[in-house]
Amino acid sequence: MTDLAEVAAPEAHPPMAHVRKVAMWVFLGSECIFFGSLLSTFLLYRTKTLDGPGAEEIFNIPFTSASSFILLMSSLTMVLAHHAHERRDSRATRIWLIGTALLGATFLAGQVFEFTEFVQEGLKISTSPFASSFYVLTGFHGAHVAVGVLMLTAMAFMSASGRLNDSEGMNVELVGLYWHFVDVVWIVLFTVVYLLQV
Amino acid sequence: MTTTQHISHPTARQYWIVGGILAVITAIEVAVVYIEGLGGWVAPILIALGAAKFTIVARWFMHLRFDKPL
Amino acid sequence: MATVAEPVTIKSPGPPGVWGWLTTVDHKRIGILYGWSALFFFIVGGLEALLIRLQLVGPNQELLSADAYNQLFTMHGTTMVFLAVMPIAAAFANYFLPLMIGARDVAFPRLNAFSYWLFLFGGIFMYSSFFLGGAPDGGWFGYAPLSIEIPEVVRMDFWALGLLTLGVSSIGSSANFIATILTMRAPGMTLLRMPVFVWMMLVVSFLLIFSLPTVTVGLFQVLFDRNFGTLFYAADAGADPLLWQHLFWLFGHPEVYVLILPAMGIVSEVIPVFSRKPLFGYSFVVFAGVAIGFMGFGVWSHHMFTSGMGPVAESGFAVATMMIAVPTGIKIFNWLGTIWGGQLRLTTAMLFALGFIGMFTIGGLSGVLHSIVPSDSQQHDTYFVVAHFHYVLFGGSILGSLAGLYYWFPKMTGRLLNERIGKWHFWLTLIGFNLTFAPMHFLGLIGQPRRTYRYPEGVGLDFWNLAATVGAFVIAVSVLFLIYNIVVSRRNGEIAGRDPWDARTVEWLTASPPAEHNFDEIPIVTARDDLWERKYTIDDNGYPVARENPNIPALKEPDELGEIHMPSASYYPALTALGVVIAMFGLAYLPVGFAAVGVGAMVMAWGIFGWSMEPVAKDHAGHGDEEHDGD
Repeated sequence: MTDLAEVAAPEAHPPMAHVRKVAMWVFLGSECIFFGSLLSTFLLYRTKTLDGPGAEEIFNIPFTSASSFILLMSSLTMVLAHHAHERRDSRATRIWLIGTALLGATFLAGQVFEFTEFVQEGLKISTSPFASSFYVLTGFHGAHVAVGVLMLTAMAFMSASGRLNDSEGMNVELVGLYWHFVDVVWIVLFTVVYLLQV
Repeated sequence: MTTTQHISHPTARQYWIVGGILAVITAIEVAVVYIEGLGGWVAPILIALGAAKFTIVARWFMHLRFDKPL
Repeated sequence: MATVAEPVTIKSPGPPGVWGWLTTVDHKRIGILYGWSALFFFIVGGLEALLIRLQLVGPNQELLSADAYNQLFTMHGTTMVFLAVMPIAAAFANYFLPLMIGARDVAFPRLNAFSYWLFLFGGIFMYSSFFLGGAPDGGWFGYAPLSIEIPEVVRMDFWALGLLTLGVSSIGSSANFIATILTMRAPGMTLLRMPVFVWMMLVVSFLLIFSLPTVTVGLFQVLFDRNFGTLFYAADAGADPLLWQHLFWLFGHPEVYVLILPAMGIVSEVIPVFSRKPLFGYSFVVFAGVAIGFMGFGVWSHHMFTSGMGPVAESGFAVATMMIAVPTGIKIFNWLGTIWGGQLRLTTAMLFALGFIGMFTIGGLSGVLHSIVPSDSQQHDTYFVVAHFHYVLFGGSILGSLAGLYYWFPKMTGRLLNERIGKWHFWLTLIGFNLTFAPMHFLGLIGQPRRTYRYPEGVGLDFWNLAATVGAFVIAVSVLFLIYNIVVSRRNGEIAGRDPWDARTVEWLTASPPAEHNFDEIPIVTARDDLWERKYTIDDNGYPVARENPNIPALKEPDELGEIHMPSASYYPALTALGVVIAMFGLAYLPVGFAAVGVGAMVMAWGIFGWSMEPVAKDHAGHGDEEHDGD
């Protein structure tokens, strides 16, 4: 077995970028079940509207479609940021990172606007099981978007001061994976929570 | 696709095309909701379109298409 | 046995003092911290059990009020599951998982420290409720809507917030272990050469990753119902209380395997060593463990057979539950096959492992009875169920962990635990355990219900309850033997040397206790029982013969080592965890607690910021004994 000893370099640590990516995928797997459970609750309660408004009366499909489209396009800008980062183009990386953060913030603003509208139309979180499950599901998604926006902004600042390091902390690829995941969750929510309920 | 060992990462142009496809699918989804006469087909169509978007984002943007299996 | 003469001095690596432990990121030290904390909570949970048994020693006792009794059984269950048994597994996994795969540390040392502090603070948080108006009293399963309608203001908030904290801790360490196992194995350590304990921890980590989110969602819903007026479990608003049971048991049943699989892994390490035989059917043991992991997600509703799910669902879950006994049975036969024809050495570790096999088999068999729906409907919520899961959890997880403790203690401290005290400990444990829990089978079948603080005289429950209480005190005495043994042997135990058991796996290749960097040179693994292959070959009849030149590298002096980069100590993980728990205290007392939530969030932000700005490994120069600057 001496040949093995010659081939392998025992001191070599695995590339940390790879190790981190494995951990991130594991975490995202956990998040899938998290949103899956929230979504199951929503599907269980979607018709339990009591005296409050139901999905068909309250959802504003054109508006939500627009904000879904914005989030979808932020995935495109995110992947372009990653692409620029791989080509070591730090100016383009920053531009696309900030662009992604702005699109994410726009989506969040849309959600705040939407929630305000709904409350004014009589759908409060305590109105019905439907309302509770709707707000908690989409609210947790919004919280994930907000965390993503924070990380993207931090990433852009770190890139500007030259501290962006691939092997330590969050890097562009990991934030990208997280961001795309949040987008993918919204693809499911937009279809199941909004489009299929009206 | 999966039989090749390693596919080189796509270009920015390809990413834009993929983004365009996603936009078009979203437009179709919204249209499906408003088209009359689809009857019981609305739900299956929407689920299929959502699944398509899901797959495209995971495989292209999250690079599952290009990652080596563990 | 071909061991090299070792120096007798035993030095504990790493900086001394409280600050050294508070800032450590060394997986071995974190493992020891987990171990002590788990022992502490095990004793606290045990004292709660003694109080419960004292209340039940005879009919119509008046030691405890119904309210106190509810708090005690809730906290006993919660403590033993989340604060004792899981952390014991985490202790062994932290200490030995990197050593067993030939790594220098886990993949994310600071995340590892964060997980530990979050677990400790979360446990203290839950226990602080005893002094703040009463502990949680809705059962460890916290069934909704009871958990929402409990009139006391904060009790179940403490429970829900505490479990959320512990959940984050477990998710962190599971992701950490998975990344470590999948990417940091020594050269030659293929997946199918990994020790079974490592395999089982891999399965456990995946179980936690995929099961914790469901209970997390349920806990958020309970919390929101209690504090923000949501209607997730308001039956009068058309909500479905069964939702909680599904969300809880979809976590809760995989959790059962989270508790037992590490013990199965430990036993799979101990039995081959003390039988001087390789594990019989290694791949069957591994794949049975993986199968249990998968099937563990398909049996949760057998906890709900009396909730009226209907015959189709009940039959499906009944069949799945019967089937999961198959991989479990496979393992038992593999252990028996390993013992068969082996050269047994009945050390304390081996005795506990054998005890594990016997007791776990009894617990497994009474478990299969619960898969039969009509029979389960009779046993539901009786002491029969209590007997069953204590045979699995105590007879299984605890005995297995004790086997691990006697087996690995010399590696952790450099000294052996005393075998004579150990034998006393073992026999007292075994007798006390059976005296406590075997009568509960009868009590349950007679009809004594669980979670009831009194029973009337003259219904045939007196004798066996008395026996169980006596047994509980025998267990308490056996724990005193354990504590005495640890305290005495840590200082004066027999010097162990590198490989006191003539073991088979590579953690015994390095010093006892290992230096901070684990291995002077990362071992190159060429076989499943790598250390054994380095020491022994087999003769024509298949019996082991010692090699003339065992391939055991000599330990190096510190100045002989090249430069090995180890992660630097950091206080940010503990600080971040502290921030989380401050915020939790705030959330327990909404709306006035918002101030504390803010403070906690700021502490957390400070911790996370410092954490991400600090390099993993600082330059070694000038940081020998790190001084903490004033702020």
